[in-house]
Amino acid sequence: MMIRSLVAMLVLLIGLGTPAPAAAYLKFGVRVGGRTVDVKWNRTIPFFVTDRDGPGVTASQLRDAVVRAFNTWKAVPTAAVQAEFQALTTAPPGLQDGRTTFGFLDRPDLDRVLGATSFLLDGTTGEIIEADVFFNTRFNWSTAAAGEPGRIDLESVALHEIGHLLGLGHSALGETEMIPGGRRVIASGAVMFPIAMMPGATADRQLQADDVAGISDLYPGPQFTQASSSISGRVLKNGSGVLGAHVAAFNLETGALVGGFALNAQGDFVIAGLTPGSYLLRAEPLDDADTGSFFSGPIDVDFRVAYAPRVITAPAGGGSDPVDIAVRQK
Amino acid sequence: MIASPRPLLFALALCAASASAAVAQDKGPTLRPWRPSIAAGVEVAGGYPTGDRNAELRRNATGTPPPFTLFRAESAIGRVTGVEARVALAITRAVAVEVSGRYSTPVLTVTVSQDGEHDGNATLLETLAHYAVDVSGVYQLPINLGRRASPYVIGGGGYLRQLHEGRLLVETGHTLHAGGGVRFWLRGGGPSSRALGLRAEGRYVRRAGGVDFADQTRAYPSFSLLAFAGF
Repeated sequence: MMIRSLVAMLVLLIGLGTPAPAAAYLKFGVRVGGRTVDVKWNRTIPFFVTDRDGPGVTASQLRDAVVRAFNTWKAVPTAAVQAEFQALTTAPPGLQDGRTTFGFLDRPDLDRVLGATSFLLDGTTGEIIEADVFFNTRFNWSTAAAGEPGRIDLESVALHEIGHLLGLGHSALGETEMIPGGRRVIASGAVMFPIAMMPGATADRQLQADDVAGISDLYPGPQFTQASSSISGRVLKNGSGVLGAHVAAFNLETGALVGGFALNAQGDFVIAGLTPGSYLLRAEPLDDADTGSFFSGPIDVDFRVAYAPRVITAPAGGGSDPVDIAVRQK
Repeated sequence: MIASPRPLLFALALCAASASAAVAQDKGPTLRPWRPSIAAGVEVAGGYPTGDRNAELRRNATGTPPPFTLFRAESAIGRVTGVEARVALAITRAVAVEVSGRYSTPVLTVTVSQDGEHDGNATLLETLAHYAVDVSGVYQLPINLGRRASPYVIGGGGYLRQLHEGRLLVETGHTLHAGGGVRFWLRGGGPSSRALGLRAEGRYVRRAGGVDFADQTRAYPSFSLLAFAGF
């Protein structure tokens, strides 16, 4: 018997008061039979677009932007993402109708939310049955090639939301600063970083290394497993594991940054989907972030940034020797 | 009026011929044609940078702003002492072909700086395993430094393999080298006697490939001290 559960998430935030973390990809997971399985699609994703115009964007422009965003994910050479536009529909997103739908919705109650993704999952396998994405009509949108001042780039937001739709959580590769009234995003290393998007900006139409690693790990293409690598280890403070520590792997040859988290009390982390090569590892706390957008429980953020003591070798088709990163309390 | 260079060239050629004749007349040490020799010793290879790179994030701004630097990583391979062995075959009394093999364990150092959230710089280390094989031509100069020593020049090229720690990843490359040295015969050195002696040699090495995060050609000096035996 199939057990279904509906998981709804608000995953795209905007505004100066938006909490945002400081540095990696995270996959959605669901507990099945005592173990955590990836939330993902196991088939070509058929998607619909609501036949409704939004502020500054027509329904057909919305459709084109969503198709382009899907194509960007599909173009990752090391991943196998399959999606296919079906038709325009009168149905809005958010209905449990068995159709994956993108569209505009009036959500004045979510005055800082650009858009969000909701899922309908098969609770026995983690397979996504349906996912809907809405874009908030409270904002002015644009699909202009070079962006438009004062308007949010729809393709960029669609690219981020499709990342969630595919099963990726938020990345923590980014930097923020405190300002009066909240926190401002200075820079990010992933499209899946919780966006505080600048109106007129279009840079987030392009995936970054962390996004590519995440989607390749979740939907590995042919030879990806043989061609890619992983780094594993522990983050330790006074000899004990640090739950929630964020670890960024920096490829010394390409400059690519890919992140991961210590996901248990032992401080164990694994960063997969890496290009083989030499890496340095940087462990940092999620101390300037809304940790709730990454973890459901409390995590340890009381430690200083630290680096692994040695250069880490990530071999093709395998994993690194485990490395311990010792951090100190603040 | 510009003087012709010919008289100077002629004079140099004459000097070389004279020196060669002096070697023959003084019966200074020479190689033994078509006889092999072996050598073994230590090599000290100089360090060189292996690339610098910034960890960069995309700025949250319109247009094309410069990237945000999270930190900077500068890498270098340090000076290292290794072992080497050579096998040579003399073609004439002055010319030999030599094959050599080297092994050393250089340390790769990465220095992390400009990290606003980290106290000071961080230093990361990795010990590499370095293997190299090269082929050289050796020309024993027709000059005697006393009765038992003679200088030579050397040049050639080779292949290198560098293994990262744990031997999980191999990087290969090639080298070119040129240099010179002095061979000192402790025993032998004549056309019909077995030889035993020491060699001191300096080389300029250009290396392409191997561990280099910027994929650039690097140059470094190398000094060797070897004991040799000629048969």
